[in-house]
Amino acid sequence: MRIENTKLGDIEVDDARIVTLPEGILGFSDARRYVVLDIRKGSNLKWLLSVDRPELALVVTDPCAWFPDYRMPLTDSDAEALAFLEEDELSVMAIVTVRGRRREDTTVNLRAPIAVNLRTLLGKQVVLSEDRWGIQVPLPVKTPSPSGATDRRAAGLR
Amino acid sequence: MLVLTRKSGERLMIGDDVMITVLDVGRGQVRLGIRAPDGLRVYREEIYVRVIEENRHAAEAPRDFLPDWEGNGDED
Repeated sequence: MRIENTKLGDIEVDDARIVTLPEGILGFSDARRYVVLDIRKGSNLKWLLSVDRPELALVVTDPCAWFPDYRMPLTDSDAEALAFLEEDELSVMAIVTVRGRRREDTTVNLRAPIAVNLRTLLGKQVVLSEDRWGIQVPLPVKTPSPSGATDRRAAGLR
Repeated sequence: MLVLTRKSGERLMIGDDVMITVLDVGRGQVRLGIRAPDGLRVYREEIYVRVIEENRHAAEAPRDFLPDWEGNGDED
């Protein structure tokens, strides 16, 4: 299908790659369908583009590529929401906030990642209970490791 | 909204699985103990509000924010 996004222009997307977040993301509960697009080939930063709201496009990244010890525990109710079975693979995306031109002004929200079941393409933004991971964590300067190298359950969206 | 009065040491049940205990009532502050199933996430309301605000800020990302960076998350 064709998406007319006010930020990124007209984009043709493969329907089979549309991810559905039945609850939307927090603050945008009416935007439920998304696609993940490369910002640039090979980059760990991607666009999460709303199919439903023409102005909505967020930058996301695989948090494990930047923070190798990052974990998002999947609770029973998450598993249910994602129709997650034991053999399924989960993709975790963290939302990136760009505050200015400088890289130091760019932070990532590790407290409320988006989990996507790669089989059902159902997703959910989860707010973690533990306060170990912050909402505005600066992106490390070092080059991240390739997506999914650290944890199969937290691999980047392919 | 349901309003209940509880004393220190008293409890509330929410459904069959969630138990909230009033541990301590101090000056302008209440300490609560919460027992909930693993599947249920419990967090302070302000965290939820901050996540909503952060999502809204994130939605303002300009389309051309990347090029200034070096080593901007490339995999190779």
